[in-house]
Amino acid sequence: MNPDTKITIRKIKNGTVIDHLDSEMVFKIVKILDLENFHDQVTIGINMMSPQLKRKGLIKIENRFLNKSDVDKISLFSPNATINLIKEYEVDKKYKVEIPNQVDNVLKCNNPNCVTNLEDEKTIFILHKKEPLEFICKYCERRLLKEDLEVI
Amino acid sequence: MEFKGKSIISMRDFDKDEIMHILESAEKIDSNREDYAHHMDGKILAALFFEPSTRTRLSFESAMLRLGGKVIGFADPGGTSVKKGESLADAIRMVEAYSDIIVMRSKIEGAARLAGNISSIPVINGGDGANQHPTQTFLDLYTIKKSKESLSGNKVGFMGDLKYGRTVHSLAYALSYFDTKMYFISPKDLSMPDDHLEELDEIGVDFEEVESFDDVKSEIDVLYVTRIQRERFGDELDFEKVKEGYTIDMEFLDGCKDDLKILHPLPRVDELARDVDESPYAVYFQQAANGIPTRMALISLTMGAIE
Repeated sequence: MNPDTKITIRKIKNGTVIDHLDSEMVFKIVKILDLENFHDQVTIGINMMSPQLKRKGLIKIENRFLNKSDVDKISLFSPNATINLIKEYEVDKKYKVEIPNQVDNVLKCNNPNCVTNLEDEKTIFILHKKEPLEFICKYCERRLLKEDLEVI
Repeated sequence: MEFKGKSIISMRDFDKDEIMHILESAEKIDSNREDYAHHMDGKILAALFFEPSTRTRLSFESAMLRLGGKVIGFADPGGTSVKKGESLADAIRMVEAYSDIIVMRSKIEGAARLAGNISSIPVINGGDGANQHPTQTFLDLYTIKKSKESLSGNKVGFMGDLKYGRTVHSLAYALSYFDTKMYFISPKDLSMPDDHLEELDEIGVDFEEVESFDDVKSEIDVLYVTRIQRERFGDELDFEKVKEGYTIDMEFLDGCKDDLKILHPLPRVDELARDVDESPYAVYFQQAANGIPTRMALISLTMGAIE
């Protein structure tokens, strides 16, 4: 591991470090996790050097532990990301994000005539293909392509 | 195979065995209708047609009445609470208290799936926008099964508006279970959408896209015709030109197989000449009639009156 990364991870006492993000997706993920309105310390790194990816992004969030829905959202936009849960300066848990087989109430259906856009209903998307990423809306059965992914 | 209490929403919910079971149930009912005349005694079907429809609504009503049941509902949402802004979820919760089974049509895609999730009684999708119309597909399959030696191993041509034709997409998907070679015959601008072709490709279906019926007419066992609508064309002249190549009369059929069967979901306008009606090729009126036993089967199965 890059020694710089170790140092930045150590700096956080309790919370989450999202590592190995695609650099260009960092600000999208900041928005998706609503970190702009988060009241504790958030550190954002882009274009950081790593041995695995030439340039990577990193987000450290003090005193917030991501839930499944948060992690699912990250996986959709940055499938190589890893999540480090930090407790008392130590990595308590570390795992790679995984694109889920079903995504509930995270993505918006891009079919304007889909019932989820016209009634107050949660969206459900079923994973159809990982490469290139493609989902199918459980309701209107339209395919949702990677470039059309939009978070509610 | 348990159909009792289940909703009929999309062809994607059925595997080959389930499709065959539904078609065989329709066959049994069709050949012995009086035996089923009281299967729905005392039961009520709610027909919720948020979008107008003639054949689907009438044939569902007829199917329920022939099973001994009763029908309530509306054919147009004007004057209903939905028009006043009631949510679909609330409307379904109300209707399930008034009836034993629901049939609904809506222009909103996914509306039937949502209704099926909410409802404690079976919901049958009578069409949700451009998405699904499974009972039409079941009656199309039933018609092919009945008019050909087998449902499997046929060469099926789909002709006309394949871009917007929901019945075509759904039937092509269902026929992928039955070893079917498919020909998609349409003007370029109205060809099968890429995502449907991709899906058929992923399943491993053998298909070809052609622009003219002449190219494949000696091959085809079943021809499924849909109407090319004037409103799909900006220019009247373009429409007239295209229409010519996709209008079927007896001369057009010269050179086709003797046992070719022609299906059409109806209504037809002038894409099928009247002289074809009397020929042995025409099964489209039988096809419409097949909506009754097929829907009787779907109602009886989901209501648990037959297994």
